Amino acid sequence: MEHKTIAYICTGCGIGEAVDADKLIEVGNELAPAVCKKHEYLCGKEGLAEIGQDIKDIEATHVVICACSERVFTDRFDFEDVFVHRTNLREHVAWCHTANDDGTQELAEDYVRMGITRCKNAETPEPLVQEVSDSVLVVGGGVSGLNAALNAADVGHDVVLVEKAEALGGFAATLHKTYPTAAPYTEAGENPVPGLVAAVEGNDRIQVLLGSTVSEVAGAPGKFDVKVGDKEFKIGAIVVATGFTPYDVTKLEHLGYGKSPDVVGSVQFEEMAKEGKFVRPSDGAPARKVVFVQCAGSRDPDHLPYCSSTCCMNSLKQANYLLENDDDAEAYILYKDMRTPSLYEQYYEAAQATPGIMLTKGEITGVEPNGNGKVKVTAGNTLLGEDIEIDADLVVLAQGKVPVMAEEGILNLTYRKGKELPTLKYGFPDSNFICFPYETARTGIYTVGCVRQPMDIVQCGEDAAGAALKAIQCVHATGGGTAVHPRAWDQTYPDFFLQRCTQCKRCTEECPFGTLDEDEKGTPLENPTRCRRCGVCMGACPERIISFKDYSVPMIGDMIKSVHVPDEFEEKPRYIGLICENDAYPAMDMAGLNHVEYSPLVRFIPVRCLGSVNRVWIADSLSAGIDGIILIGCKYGDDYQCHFLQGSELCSKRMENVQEDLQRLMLESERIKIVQLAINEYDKLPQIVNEFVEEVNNLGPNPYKGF
Amino acid sequence: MTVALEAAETGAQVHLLEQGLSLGGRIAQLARYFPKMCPPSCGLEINYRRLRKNPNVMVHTLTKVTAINGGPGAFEVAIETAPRFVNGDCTCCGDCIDACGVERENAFNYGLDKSSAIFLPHPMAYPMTYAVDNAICPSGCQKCVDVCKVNAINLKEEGTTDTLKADAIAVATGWTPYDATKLDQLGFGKYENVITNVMMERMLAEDGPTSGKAVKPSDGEAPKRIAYVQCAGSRDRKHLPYCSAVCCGASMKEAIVMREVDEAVEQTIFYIDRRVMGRNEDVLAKVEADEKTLLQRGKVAKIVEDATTKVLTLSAEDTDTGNRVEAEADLVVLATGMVPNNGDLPLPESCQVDDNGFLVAGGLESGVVPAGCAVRPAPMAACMQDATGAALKTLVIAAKAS
Amino acid sequence: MSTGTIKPDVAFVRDVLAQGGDDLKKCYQCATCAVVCPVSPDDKPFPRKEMIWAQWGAKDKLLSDPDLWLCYQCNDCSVQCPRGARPGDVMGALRKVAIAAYSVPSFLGRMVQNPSWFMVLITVPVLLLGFLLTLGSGAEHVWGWSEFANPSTEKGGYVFHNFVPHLLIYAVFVPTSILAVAAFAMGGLGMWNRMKEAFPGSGAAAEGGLVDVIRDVLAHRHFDTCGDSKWRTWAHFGFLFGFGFLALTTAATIVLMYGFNLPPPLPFSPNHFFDGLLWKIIGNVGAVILIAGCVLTILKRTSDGVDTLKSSFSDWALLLVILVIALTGMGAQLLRLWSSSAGSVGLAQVAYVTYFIHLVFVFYLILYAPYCKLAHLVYRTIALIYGRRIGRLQKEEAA
Repeated sequence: MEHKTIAYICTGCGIGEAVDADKLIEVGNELAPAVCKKHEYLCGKEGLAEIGQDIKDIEATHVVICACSERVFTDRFDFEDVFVHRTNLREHVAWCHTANDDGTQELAEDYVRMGITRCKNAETPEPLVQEVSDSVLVVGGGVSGLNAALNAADVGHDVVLVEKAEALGGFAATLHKTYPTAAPYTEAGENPVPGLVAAVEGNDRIQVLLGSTVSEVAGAPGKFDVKVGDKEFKIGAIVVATGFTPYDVTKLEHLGYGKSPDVVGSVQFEEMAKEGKFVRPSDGAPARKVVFVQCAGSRDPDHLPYCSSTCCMNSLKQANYLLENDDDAEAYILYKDMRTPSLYEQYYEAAQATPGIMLTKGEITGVEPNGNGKVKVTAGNTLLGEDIEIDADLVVLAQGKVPVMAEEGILNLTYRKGKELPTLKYGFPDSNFICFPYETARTGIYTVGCVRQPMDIVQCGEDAAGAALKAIQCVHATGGGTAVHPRAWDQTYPDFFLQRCTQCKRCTEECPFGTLDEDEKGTPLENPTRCRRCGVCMGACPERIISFKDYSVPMIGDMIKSVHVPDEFEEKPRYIGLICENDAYPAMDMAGLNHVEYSPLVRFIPVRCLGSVNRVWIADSLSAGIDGIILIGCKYGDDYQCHFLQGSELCSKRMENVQEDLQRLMLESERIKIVQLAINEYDKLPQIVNEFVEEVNNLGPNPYKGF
Repeated sequence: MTVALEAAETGAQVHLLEQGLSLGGRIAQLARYFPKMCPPSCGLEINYRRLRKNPNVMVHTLTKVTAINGGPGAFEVAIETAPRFVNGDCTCCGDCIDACGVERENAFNYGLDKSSAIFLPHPMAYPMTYAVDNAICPSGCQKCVDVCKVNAINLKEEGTTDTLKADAIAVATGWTPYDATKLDQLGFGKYENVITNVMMERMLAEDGPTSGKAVKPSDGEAPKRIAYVQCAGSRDRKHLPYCSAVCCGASMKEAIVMREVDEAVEQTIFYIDRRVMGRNEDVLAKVEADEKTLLQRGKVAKIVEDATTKVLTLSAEDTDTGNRVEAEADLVVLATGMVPNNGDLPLPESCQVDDNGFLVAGGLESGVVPAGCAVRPAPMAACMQDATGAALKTLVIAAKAS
Repeated sequence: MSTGTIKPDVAFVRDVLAQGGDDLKKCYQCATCAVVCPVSPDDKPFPRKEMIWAQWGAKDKLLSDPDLWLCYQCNDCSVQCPRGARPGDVMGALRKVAIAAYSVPSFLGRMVQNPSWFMVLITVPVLLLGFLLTLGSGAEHVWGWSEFANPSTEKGGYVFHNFVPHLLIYAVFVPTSILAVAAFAMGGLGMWNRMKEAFPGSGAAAEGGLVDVIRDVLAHRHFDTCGDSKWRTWAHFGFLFGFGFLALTTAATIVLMYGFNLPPPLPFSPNHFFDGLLWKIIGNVGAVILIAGCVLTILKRTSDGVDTLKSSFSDWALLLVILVIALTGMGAQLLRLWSSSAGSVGLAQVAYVTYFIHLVFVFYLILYAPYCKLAHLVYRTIALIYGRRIGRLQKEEAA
């Protein structure tokens, strides 16, 4: 279909007062859109009706709305079957720059040019609708896996549940009882695992494979080819519920493990409770005086730097086992902080009431056999005002939780970027764990339960429901041809013009989600359903062969080239700002809303992620006479805020190379600046922008200006 | 919002009911999340964006549930929507704010500043539409109506009622900070420079009343010494017998942000137990490593103000040394806890509520799924977990009912 | 810091729980109590540390801890405690457990504080006095049960020494008192030694000693600093001054009897004002004050405010024994006067029975004083004196 662009300039909300709209129409018409006109209230009924009518009359395919931010009135400026581009003359121009100033007018003019130019190349996306399998693979048959399987089955999905052990239940099956999980939180509860196992075994939709591991996962969301031994399955999405292993007690020699058989791990104590025999492993005598050492490995930089979250509650429960079995027994719990958060506080209170349970904060200074058959536990920094010494029959080390994650052989992905899920810190899966906790660095594969973070049975249950939902959602989105979180609405996907591919492998290497595989020559193999649509590959490609229907290297390049660059004698420098549409763009909107003023010399272009910034844009800018380029994206590093894990970080690395290139071209590297900005830091924008403008201005004009 | 979006993105039709003026809840009022120290508005923006693009979610703000009839698969939910006095045509151009001469206490900022009677609920509001606090409008005043170019304001707007049909109901009514004036030993409401943690969050928020800087309410100056009082109401039978789960992490986070804001500030966190679970331990490690922030075990039992200097003296026992400590501070932040909000929700009888007002997350028979702080005090990440799970449960309820 | 001194003892924990410290285990060591306590010193304040010692059954620490006795159980701490662990009541319970522990012989300490032994213990004076009164059927003087069967008058009225001769009273109560004093001495010495072992230095010792302590006690200085339960000042004031007045009356009677040969019954006519009536009035005022103290205490202990004291058997036992002593004392006196003026033999017998009960309970109080809650008057005094020596002062004094 023939491209027909229509453009509108809204003069409402102060735009008309700040800029000369007629002049904008003139500028717009230079690019020959089918229509370019103004309206005083574009988002009103009449304005919208007029656009609708024009679309019909002119058979327009592209509409440029030069008005407010794309973040407002999204539903109003939504016209069927046309491509809508929003150019922000309100928050980014009228509300943050001096009215009727040349700089403001020129900025608005450039934005109109850029908007219309964008539409020249952009296409309305067509979703890649395909047949998908709606089966869910659950790896791990513990509490999380069982719940996830049941939840997925409950909404009508077939589930393949793979468990390494010969029985379902996972670690939780070894528990004698669970600590209380419901109001009034005073009594230990029955272990829910047998019930869950029975429910799973009785569920027709769930196929359980015991004593099995996943030998291979190939393919992509919606059509994973999963091999479990000699069985093969078509799978839509995967839930990884591999749980945890208790921290290896043999590493706790400093807490006495190995020095006496009567120093045991909490797992071993739980076994004693299950058997109802609280005896000393050394001589079989009753264990009546038991010391529980909390944070045995956890919260210790040399072992597990994190808190394992459940050990305090667990030790209270185990102390109760002991006292329930023998009224006159003594249980000592030595903790760093008593962590019974939320409503669990009530169990702390209830457990404390038993006379034989004694608690104090303390730091263990020694666990040694005392020579008389007992184990001497010494602790300092206690609440008793002095160091303490207890001759115990038995010492129980509260073992922490280690995620079963980093090990090989869980998923055996055939992905180019590795067989297993990448981890972030402490062996937990890489994810934006606060805001989108289930999404891993591999699309369609969701982690759940203790593999994701230490949690208890109740939380695992909730988590399992969440992960099951994400898996189902993935199947749903994949089948409909849209992206998954966080671009759930996005129907585009990257197109590869492979004829021009040089097999440089940058795209396959840089994609944070392991989307692309390679053939033996190094040509990328597309897996569109693995893609999160961040555009990192597009940014990485030196040959500019990766494009989305509405977002491509030439599209942005042309926008840059459409900027009117006055010659150097006019002393009007021009800058390009490439900004992350997720955080930096809203921050700029916020600046507008608050009428925060900054230099009007920078033309901002939102990008999907800073990681999608292609080096050629820098070259395009500089050769067009642009004086400098500022890139504003999300924070990176350990606490990255990038929605696509590494996008902003990758961009900063690329830009370092670009800066080197510049120096070779005798251009100052300061002409390119990359800035990390959080969405809430809009108040820093003026300083950031003005400083950059000033710095580059001091360097003098771009020598390539006018070439 | 998360329940609504997750369910909608899996194909469900969702009515999202919010009693307030905007979506976002308490999260919108926070400065940062721990342990990443990232701004909550970032996550909020993701969800808003998903919401804007998702035709399956109908958002109803200013809406209360007045009755719930029927059962799973066939709920009839009677709702009552209060007037906002400003319709969706509002462009947030600001003309009306300039015209309005009436001030109101800004509840979003916990009264730390004022706004005009017509206002944007907050900078990240959704919907991005002004609202009028007509309770304080002088009678007959039409200034805002007169200046509005798009005729978005109607001060005579009346509330509406409606009945919605639903297969399942998720309850994510969240929490309210505990009323700190009830903590009479701690001087909130009596001493100006004693504030609550939620107020501190507003101060430390870049879009807050003090643009991200903590100030002493008494004189607007920057405090040199700040004390954080943990368990201000929580873990206390006279107030909230449970632990509010987030306050330790919140105070540590505030202390870390404060040090970014003011290099020289000296801070003390008085605590009983430092409850930062999982990898939130990192936050504690960071605070421990900071030589100007002291973690002091011992609950603050008393705060006294010097009437002239407004300096506050906190009394506690250092349980490590066993000696009394009296610490002076220019600003005291009370780590007040969470009170569940579901009190006035007309839930079906099959929904259980515990002694503390939290909903008991039971089976799916009732067709009502509670999530987040309606169930128990929890940090945001755990609420996300709940909410995503709750979305699935609503789908299960719907699937079983059909 | 020394090592290994904490020797947990669960039996001790159970004793504390039984003696009114049943909320002890709720404590989570926030130390609110130690801050709100109006009398606790700034340096190592109580009762937070006592709470964890008690939770751990750290008997040795507690029995050598003078701080136990610096507490007057005003319960400001219990009112403020976020967990409802009632540290004030726990301190009270700890003092009772300490009294039992200091007791010589120790079995008596345990028996006196154990409700199931009460009937046995009260039977001792009943049997002893009951038996001695059977001896009064001699030829010369008829007294005891023979006199009871046939009450005689003297100066126109019934008199108690016809029923229980003074000699008998001396024969019983002088040795009993000696026993009590000896028990106190041994218990007190034991306590002193424990404290001396735990706190050998006299470091920042404060000036003063017994005199200051007695002055403070009489003035109820510490009770007065209590914030939330001022009534206890008045109640304890009632006990102290009630007993004081009664002791004064007893002393005066002895002086009048042997110094001025004015044997009881003391004259009751205005012209004998100074040789009898004044003392009688003082004695009766004392009894009334004592009863008032008892009533106030009972009312407060049975009300249900947060500041209400937790009451164990020991508390009720002492309170009721004192009440019975005061009531039977007053009752015996009034019944004697009534029976005398009415000339009623029956009433006189009621008076004798009342007097007998009075003596039984007085015996109980004296003999068991070192073992029951009353022993605090000795142990607290010792602790306060030793406390001064080692610088354990209450907050006000330290300031």
